[in-house]
Amino acid sequence: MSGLTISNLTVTIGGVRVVDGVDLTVPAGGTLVLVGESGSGKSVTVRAALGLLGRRAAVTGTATFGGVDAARVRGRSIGLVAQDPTTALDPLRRVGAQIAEVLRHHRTGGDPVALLARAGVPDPARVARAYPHELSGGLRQRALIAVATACDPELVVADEATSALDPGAAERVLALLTRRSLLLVTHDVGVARRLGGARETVVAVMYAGRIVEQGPAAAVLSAPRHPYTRGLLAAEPAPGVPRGALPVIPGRPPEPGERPAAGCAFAPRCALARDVCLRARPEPAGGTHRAACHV
Amino acid sequence: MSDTPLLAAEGLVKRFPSGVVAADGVSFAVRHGETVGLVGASGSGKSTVARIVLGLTRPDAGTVRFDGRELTTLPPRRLRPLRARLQFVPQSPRASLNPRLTAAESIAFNLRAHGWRRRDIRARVAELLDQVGLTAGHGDRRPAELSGGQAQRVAIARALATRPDLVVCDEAVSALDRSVQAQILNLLAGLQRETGVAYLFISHDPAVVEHLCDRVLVMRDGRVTSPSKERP
Ligand SMILES: Nc1ncnc2c1ncn2[C@@H]1O[C@H](COP(=O)(O)OP(=O)(O)OP(=O)(O)O)[C@@H](O)[C@H]1O
Ligand code: SF4
Ligand SMILES: [Mg+2]
Repeated sequence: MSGLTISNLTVTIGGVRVVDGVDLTVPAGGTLVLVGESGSGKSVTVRAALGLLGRRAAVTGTATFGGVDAARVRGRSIGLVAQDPTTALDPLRRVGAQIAEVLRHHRTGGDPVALLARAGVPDPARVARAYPHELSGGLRQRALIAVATACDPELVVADEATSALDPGAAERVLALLTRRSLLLVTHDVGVARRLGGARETVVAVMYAGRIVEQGPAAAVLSAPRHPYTRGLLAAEPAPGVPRGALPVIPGRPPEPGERPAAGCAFAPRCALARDVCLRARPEPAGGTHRAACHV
Repeated sequence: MSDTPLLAAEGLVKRFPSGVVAADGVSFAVRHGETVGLVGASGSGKSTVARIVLGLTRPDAGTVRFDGRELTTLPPRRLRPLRARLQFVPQSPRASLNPRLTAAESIAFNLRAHGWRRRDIRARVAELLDQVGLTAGHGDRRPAELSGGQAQRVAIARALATRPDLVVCDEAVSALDRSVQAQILNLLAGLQRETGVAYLFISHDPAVVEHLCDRVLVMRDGRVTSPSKERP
């Protein structure tokens, strides 16, 4: 099994730098969880890595899978579960027929109904006969997962694959996806916790187009180093926190066009910010558990 | 406060043409000023129950009494004034807001629909934007120009505009990252303290439901399997 290595990836769309010097590694046979809030650049990162951005996007940097350009082996060795199930499925064709076409395209055998069952779809025969609009969001998401895993790719890139799912369904989907190398994109930092420690799991935290922290899941979750990661983890509802008193990160993330040219993009929201944070951009430092923070 | 619950659903049944029974005898009550959670696997019927309560789906059997009045058989003309007191925050704020209206226009639209006068509307919109933590500048933006969390605040402001007694929230925070989610949960709790609004809060996230709700109903295969547990 191979891993995916993304090096110094930068994406500029319409003159605006949306993703800025991203380094990420999906361990071979392991999981990389890419966490960040809406608009931080997670989807653009994975779409750029797989060569899926249109001509309007200027991409520099590399993404390699087993030594070759990741874009060239997408669909064959790399399966993609896109973020928006409504647009990723053809609205005019039955779900089963769409899975069958993927199987034909890659000349692999397999039964669409069995693949749906494997993705945790209850009553898979009915779902195979259904059109996408007849399914709930959670069922559509699992149908997409069935499509992406149909040819048993070595690596799956799943963008928000569990967001619309209840805990039971999410667990079944994660069990299916973690049979191979996995890049899991999510806005919910709690997903990393649900993966357990059975295999190598790395968490990377994205903020304003950059990776601000990256390290082994257990380390990042139990001893987060970056103030933004700490804020995200503290905001999770936990027993004992009185209603209405969840700790929040003040303010909001900057739009790509309004990110500061110098210094740390998190500074306006950071309780620890000092002068240097406004002047110099913090670079990732610190061995296997890295954080980009001056403090 | 009277003993009559604000909302009382009795024996709701809904069967879809596909044969799926989304609600199979669902009964529950929501009292004034409380938050009742509704959890369950996807497809267990939560959203169907929400749509019946809101009068968007007609049940095959069962009754919904809001403040003592039966809703399911009420003609639309009579339902409208009640709808001002029974509002909705849906899952996807961007999709539920009219893309051509600014945030302020969306809120004003709901007020106009319930007979508010123009000069009262202006002041009320400003007050609501402030209550949900948005500026007048946000009010001038269209959904595409707002973040997911900001758009969800607009949806909440719109729902609270008519000073409802009950707001049904269907996965209202599920698509938000944890930091924005925490802001919205704090906002919902604060507004409840200020206005006494009750929530029927649908979510697949146990931690969120545990945090926000006074009681929790668990749905499975169209039935409420666990009677509402009081929070300790
Ligand atoms: N095709 C595009 N043209 C212009 N801007 C874009 C395009 N695609 C994305 N962007 C912008 O790039 C930024 C990053 O977007 P991206 O979709 O990667 O965010 P994300 O982290 O995946 O967010 P979410 O959690 O909401 O999915 C956003 O500001 C977005 O508006
Ligand atoms: S570099 Fe400074 S502003 Fe940025 S996260 Fe660290 S302490 Fe906060
Ligand atoms: Mg995305």
